[in-house]
Amino acid sequence: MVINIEGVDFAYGTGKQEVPVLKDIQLTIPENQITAIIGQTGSGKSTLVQQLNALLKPTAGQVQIGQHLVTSQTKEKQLTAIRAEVGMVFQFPEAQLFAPTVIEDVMYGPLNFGAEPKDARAAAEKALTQVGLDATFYDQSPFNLSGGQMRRVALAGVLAMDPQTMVFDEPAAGLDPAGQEELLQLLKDLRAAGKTIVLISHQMEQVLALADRVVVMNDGQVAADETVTALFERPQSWFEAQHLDLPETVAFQKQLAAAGFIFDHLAKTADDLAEQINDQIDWPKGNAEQKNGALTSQSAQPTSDKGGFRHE
Amino acid sequence: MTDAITIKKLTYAYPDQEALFKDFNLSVAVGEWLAIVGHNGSGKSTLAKLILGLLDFDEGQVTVFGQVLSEQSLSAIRRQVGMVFQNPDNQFVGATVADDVAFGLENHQLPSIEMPAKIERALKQVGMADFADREPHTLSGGQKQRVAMASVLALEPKVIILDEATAMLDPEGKQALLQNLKELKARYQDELTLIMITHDMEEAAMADRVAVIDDGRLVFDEKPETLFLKGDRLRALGLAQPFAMDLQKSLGIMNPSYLTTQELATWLSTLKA
Amino acid sequence: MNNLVIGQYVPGDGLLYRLDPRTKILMTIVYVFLLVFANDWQSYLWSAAFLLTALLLTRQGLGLYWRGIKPILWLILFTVVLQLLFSGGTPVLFTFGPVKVTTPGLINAVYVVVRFVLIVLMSTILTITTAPTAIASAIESLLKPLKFFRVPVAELALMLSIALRFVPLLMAETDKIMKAQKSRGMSLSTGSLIKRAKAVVPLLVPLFVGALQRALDLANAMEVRGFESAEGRTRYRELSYGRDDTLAFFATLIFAIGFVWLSIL
Repeated sequence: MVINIEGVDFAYGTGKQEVPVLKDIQLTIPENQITAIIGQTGSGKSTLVQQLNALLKPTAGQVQIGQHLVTSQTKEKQLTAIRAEVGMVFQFPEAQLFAPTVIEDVMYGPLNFGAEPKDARAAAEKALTQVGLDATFYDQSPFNLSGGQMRRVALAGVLAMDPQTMVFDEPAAGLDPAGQEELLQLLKDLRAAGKTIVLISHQMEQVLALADRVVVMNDGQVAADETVTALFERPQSWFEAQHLDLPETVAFQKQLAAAGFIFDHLAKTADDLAEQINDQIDWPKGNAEQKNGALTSQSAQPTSDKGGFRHE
Repeated sequence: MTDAITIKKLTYAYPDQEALFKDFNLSVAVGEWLAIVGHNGSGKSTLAKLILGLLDFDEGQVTVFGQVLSEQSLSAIRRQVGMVFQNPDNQFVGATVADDVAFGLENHQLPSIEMPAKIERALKQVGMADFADREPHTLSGGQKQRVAMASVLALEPKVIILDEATAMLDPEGKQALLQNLKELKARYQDELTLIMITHDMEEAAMADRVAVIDDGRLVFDEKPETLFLKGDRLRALGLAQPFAMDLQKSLGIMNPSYLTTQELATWLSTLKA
Repeated sequence: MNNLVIGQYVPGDGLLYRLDPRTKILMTIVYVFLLVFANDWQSYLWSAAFLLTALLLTRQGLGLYWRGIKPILWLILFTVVLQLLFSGGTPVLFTFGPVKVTTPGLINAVYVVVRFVLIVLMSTILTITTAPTAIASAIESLLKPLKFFRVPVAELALMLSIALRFVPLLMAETDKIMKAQKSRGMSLSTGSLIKRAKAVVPLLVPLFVGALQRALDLANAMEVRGFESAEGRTRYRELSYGRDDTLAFFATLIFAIGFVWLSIL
């Protein structure tokens, strides 16, 4: 299922109070890939993804979602079918939990889209397994769970609908490192299962680790739409102009490149980067000792550049 | 010298649950910058609430600048310890930025005439002086957190606890708040004790000392320089280590002198063939 | 995102912004009270003139007020039709089937509309020029005598101002949860009445739970900042009457005398 955004404008309000948010967007969401949408707060990312399942209709232009065409004139009743095909996980999705038990909450989506109770239950159980919650959770109240577990239930609520395309808005926000790691794995698994994923993220490490393609939004317009490698090969100054961070690996690589190191490709992981660095470093004699020497002579390194508060 | 905060043999359990803390001990020196880290649900935020008497512990003792926490000493202790919470929206009491900073001053019954100067000073310290008349829904999350910081600063506390204060912010908002913390610590030096509760290792690296908590137990309590050499142990606890340490591991080195990418890059540049 | 003007505060610097909120509330009450007794065109004209003066003194464009009236136009129209149809009396202007439109009916309709618009505009002037906190503290101050009857006026005022502050937040929250559940196939526009009523549960429960969490967080934040009781706190924004308030009271007095004089003429 292909999603095509063709010449879309979107504005809140009308007349003098009109606030334009999206301006003439041309975009195709490639199938079976992870497309990351990045951009500083207020650049229009969230408004853009809400066009993908017709939560917002374009003010001008049209959005083609598989068989469905959405314009400003499309009737509300025609939109429900679209939402069965494009799932949406909002930021802090645990805020949408409402049912007395976990299983009922997860079954809510499938039932709304016309599944038989038996099938909805099966879909819910499968989705809960996918997010790592076993049968002991089914009959618990979602409100008695920890924050991380509530997040999983909310994710399962969308997974159970089994949409072909899934949109995630900052899915890892507020999770601890282990929780983030698990979430990244879930997104990778979904891609491997043939799903199309759209990911909004502020965390460039996630974008680098996951995305096939990246769309950069700036002031309601598409500032870049290219592969993740092409994007991060852009100069640092470009990212500064977009108020975007670089992934730490990339930032480090660029920093060393500025100091004269030569790299033949963009490093996506610390290991990859280390390999390229090691080739160019002349570790002084007694390699191991030199490398670990400071372990025993901590005082050798000045720490003054960390600011005046660090006094020992 | 008395510590800023001493926790002795603390025991606490949420109603109908197993004890989260059992005989827990921790002390924070005056002027120290302490990071308390742990995965979600490790009990680190509960600890902050116990120190400020927002939750009542079952056994043990909390002492703040020599004063034992009790029902009688609670107000006096809260005058010395300020706290910034996680959710920027849920701690904004006033209708405007200035009103929010004023809220604590009003509680402390400061004469009205002295308030404007204090409010302006506090807002200046967090770079929000130009926003005094703004309403909360016109501010970004990061700006709201800086207002929360100003509201605490206006009360001139000796200790500030930040309970995952950056967790809900975008990178820009987070960096601005962290930069602000550095400046404040540099300005007040030993007059300000900072306790930062977080699971972000970049933040933990800013501290003088890091306490790692796992299911209510103190697992590590040491300087970031030595803590971050324990990458595998940290991962097992659901935590990460700063990127500079990740990269060092990949490079086959372990040098605690280079905790930040800046330090590491500078050092590597000197070794370039 | 929100086009409603009624009840909204719009920052500005006209004379009316400088008035003590208590003055503005009292003026509005007096005005609305008198307007109820207006029954001839002279008193309506006099009231309209007073309103127009106040309106100009806010130094906001008239367009703002027009936008305030626009959403309630249908309500005004509805009232007009009701008045026209059910007033009765003679002479009959024209008949339309069983419906008779009479001259008193027409006049009554015009009066009702004018009264309605004047009252709405006057209250809009109050809210446009007065921050919600100022209204809350003015109400607290005006209700002070009730403390004698053990009414917790300070607490009520604080609750009111916090409630006002959370309105935009709760609206945003409602929008978000609505969209999240719509994405999971919620539909409020189909099915039987009972089915539709049940469909609201996935909306209301998260809203309620969220509001409760906010309340708990806020209580913690307030306590930590030294809140113990609404009584005995000092005030950042002290209310104080000034020269402008005296002027405003005189203006209101002149309006009232003029109004009474016109009515008994």
